[in-house]
Amino acid sequence: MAWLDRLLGDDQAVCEDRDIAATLAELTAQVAVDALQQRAAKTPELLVCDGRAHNHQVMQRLAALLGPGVAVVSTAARGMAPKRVEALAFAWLAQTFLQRRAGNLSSVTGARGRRVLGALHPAG
Amino acid sequence: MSGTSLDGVNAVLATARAADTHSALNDLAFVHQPFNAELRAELRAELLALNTPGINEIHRAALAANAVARAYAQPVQQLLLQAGVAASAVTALGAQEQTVRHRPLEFDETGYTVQLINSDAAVARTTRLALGPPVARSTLQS
Repeated sequence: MAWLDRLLGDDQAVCEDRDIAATLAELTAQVAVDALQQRAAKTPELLVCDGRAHNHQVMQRLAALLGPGVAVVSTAARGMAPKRVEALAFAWLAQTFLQRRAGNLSSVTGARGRRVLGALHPAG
Repeated sequence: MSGTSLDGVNAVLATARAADTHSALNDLAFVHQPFNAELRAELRAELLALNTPGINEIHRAALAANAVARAYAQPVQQLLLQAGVAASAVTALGAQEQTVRHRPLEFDETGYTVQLINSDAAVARTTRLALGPPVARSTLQS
């Protein structure tokens, strides 16, 4: 909110809450679509997780920006509750670490290569 | 894990079909534990403050790491109770750290990353029920 307050500055008084919410939804959708088109332009289906999957405006904007070639659906449609996905990602990272497999995409994190991520703290 | 928004902790209990293969995870139980407003404001302000140089950072970072570990303890206990699973049956607790400095490839290209959680405290606090699982610290940034 501090970030948003700073950006809005003196315009805050004249902006309607619904316009601010719509702008944030548009930003969320645009950023996701930009990333998808850069990294995986041929994706036929976009699975959306977390709060965004329940945000009608975000889902609608994603679908509109991506066009008819990409199905935009909640992860619930593939059997996983949207709110569980991020926590499961960390279970996956832990599993990946325990198997000593690389868990990073160096193109995303800026690392030089693929690396086993994390550290083990044994109990007892 | 809690993530950068610090609105609470999401914890999931999952099984893998085999430990030695790249198998899919199945989620058995899920808990969302919201932070109370005071803890959230305090931890958030301190983690943000630790992003920039300040006084007595080592001590303050250690206390913040303790706070992150404490925040994970209750949801993990709740998750195990909810699923009826003993801590001894858990292979590992994958805990997300909170990033306060991330400087990859700088300083002679060695770089560094500082991410906070007191993993030993996390083990101690989440293993009261039975024998403890190891904590595998996992992070998306490396």
